[in-house]
Amino acid sequence: MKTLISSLIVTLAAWLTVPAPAVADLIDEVRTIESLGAEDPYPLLAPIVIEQARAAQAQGDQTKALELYRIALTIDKSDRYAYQSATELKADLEAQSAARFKDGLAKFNAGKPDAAHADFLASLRLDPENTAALPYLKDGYSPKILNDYTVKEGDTLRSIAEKVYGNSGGELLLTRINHLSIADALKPERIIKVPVVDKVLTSRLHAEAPEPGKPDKPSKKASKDNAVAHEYASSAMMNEVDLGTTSSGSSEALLAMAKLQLGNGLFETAVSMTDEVLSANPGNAAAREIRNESYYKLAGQLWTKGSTAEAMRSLIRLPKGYKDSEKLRKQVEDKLTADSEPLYLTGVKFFLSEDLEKAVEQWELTLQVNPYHAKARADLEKARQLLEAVKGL
Amino acid sequence: MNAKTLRQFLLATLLLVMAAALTGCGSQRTQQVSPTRTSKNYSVVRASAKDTLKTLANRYLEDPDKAWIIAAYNRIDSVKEGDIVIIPRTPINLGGIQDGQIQTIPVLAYSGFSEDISDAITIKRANFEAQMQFLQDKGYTPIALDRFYDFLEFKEQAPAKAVVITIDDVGKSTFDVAFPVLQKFGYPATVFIATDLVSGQGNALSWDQVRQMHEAGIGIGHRTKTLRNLTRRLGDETLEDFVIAIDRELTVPSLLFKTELGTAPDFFAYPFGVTNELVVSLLKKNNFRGALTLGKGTNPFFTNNYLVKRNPVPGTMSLTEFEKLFVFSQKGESQ
Repeated sequence: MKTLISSLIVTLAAWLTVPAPAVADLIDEVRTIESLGAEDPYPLLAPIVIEQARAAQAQGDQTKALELYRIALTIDKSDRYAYQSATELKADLEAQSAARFKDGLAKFNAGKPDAAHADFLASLRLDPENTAALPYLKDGYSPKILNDYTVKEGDTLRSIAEKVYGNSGGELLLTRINHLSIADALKPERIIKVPVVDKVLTSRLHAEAPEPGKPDKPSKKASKDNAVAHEYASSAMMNEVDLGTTSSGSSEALLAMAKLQLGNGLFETAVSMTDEVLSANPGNAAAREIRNESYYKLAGQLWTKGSTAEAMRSLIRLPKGYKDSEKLRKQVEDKLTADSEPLYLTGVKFFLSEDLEKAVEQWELTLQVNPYHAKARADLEKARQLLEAVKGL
Repeated sequence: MNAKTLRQFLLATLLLVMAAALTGCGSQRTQQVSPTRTSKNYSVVRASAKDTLKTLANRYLEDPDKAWIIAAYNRIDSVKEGDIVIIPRTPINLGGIQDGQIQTIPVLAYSGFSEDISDAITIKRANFEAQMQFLQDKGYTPIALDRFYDFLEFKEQAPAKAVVITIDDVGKSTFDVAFPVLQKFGYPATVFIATDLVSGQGNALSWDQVRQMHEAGIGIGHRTKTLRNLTRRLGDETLEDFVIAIDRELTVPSLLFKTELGTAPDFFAYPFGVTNELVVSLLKKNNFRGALTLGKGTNPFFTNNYLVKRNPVPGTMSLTEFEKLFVFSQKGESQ
């Protein structure tokens, strides 16, 4: 027994003094042990894992060292050295991760997102359980989707939409995004989310010329966002391929598909595809023809189904005198008027008897039935403004 | 004898001596050797005759599809009796962040398929098969879109050369050509469907075919109702009507998917690959897990979940050009 122990010590010493080959790692050593076919390989494996862990730690690879100490503990739960080392390493890595995140956050908040990026990545690498950096990496390097708006005294969703978008129609969007209804009162200091409404994001990230055929009218807010988007564009490096605008080959293919959809009675899809072609080549006569034909057939289909307002929406997109569309248009207009006029007149009655709320209700109903009732739209706007003024008193 | 060989010789000697010492000392005790040691983070297992990578993954990782993790960590293709296998039970390299390099995953976007026609948007069967064969020969691993999003969400690792296959469906050819080829190779893929296009008439897919693909494990994604360009507000459309129209393009198909397939898709592909902040805010409000564009490039884990890049694969693309799409890492910024 004594001779065995001493030869063990001698061999161990000899082995440890020979320089470790660069390539052999834990898996290589596992293979060696496998080949011995010992009945219980674990006592053989354990010291090797510890040795590897020590080597990793000496080389400064703390993550690898932690991995190896954990494996050692898996093999022998009672290994106090491994337990202590793992605990110390974990604490150290956690601290480093937190520090890197803090540095990154400071740089990010100081307007240096590119410099912050490395710190954010490092904090995740050092401690994957600390995911504080993740939302910054995900959402901090592309233009903001939502802005915060703090409600002030007297704000309504309509007035906020008017302020932010220059368009009271944005009210609906605000209700959807914030899960509110138009009737909900807004408490001051409440923060509501306001989606950014602007041009195609993907094109802006590429920071090239604006999409052909689109009028360029950014709001003040949008141009600030655009500047921000431009700043990130070079690092985002999105190289967009817009099917309708790449080559005539794709335009042709799209047109062929549109024709197919038209033939299949899928008018809206045909319109979507021709719109795409026309956005690149507004002069494409074939696309225009398919589009007109689609809207014409769609209008007829909707009219037959009884969707009068929807039919009108298609009809107004046709050129004047397209086939016999004028006849259909007259029919649709007459029906819309017949359905909506009584509602409108009821609204007028309420207005004249100074029941503003009921007047607004009736005129909103009128527009639901006939969105093209110009008088109802104008009078509704007037009544709403009056109502808001009255509520403010 | 060089340093390496000497070292190995000494190690072997050491081990033999230790083995002798141990067996010498303990011959009186009966040894109950557990073939497995397990902790929260790892299992160290000695494989039995019946074990395979898949059965080990199933037992220790609760998912046979995670067999690749065991294979990659131990640098093996298979296990046999007596093999000692280290199984990481928690992810060890989330996001694939290494010193100086970050893992990226390319996503492919196919549009049309055909038996024999090749054009800008249509790939013929033989070429599609050749491309799938190429992936197999190179050892690239197609993964399902939800696994890709587990990677994007920093929850799970992905194989080193993972790729994602997606199809923007335009017709029956997806079922007739793409589906059987994918099945032949056992590759996962996601088909993005604009529900108006599923009419079952002429060259269009039918819901029955969509169901068959879904039941066979092909992912089904959302691609609006009418394939409308969601960033384009029509000249006479009020902002309110526009918002209603976009929301409708998202919600109506989801209801239809629920009726036809039992579930609504988590993932969305933008018509014509275009999007803006308004669309993204509505996607988030409608609980989509993510959305994909047609912007070329590859995806590190920190890619915005609603701006995932996809490489369109035109039918006319050569294998040489195809190969260039597979970029699996980019420069990292650690230390």
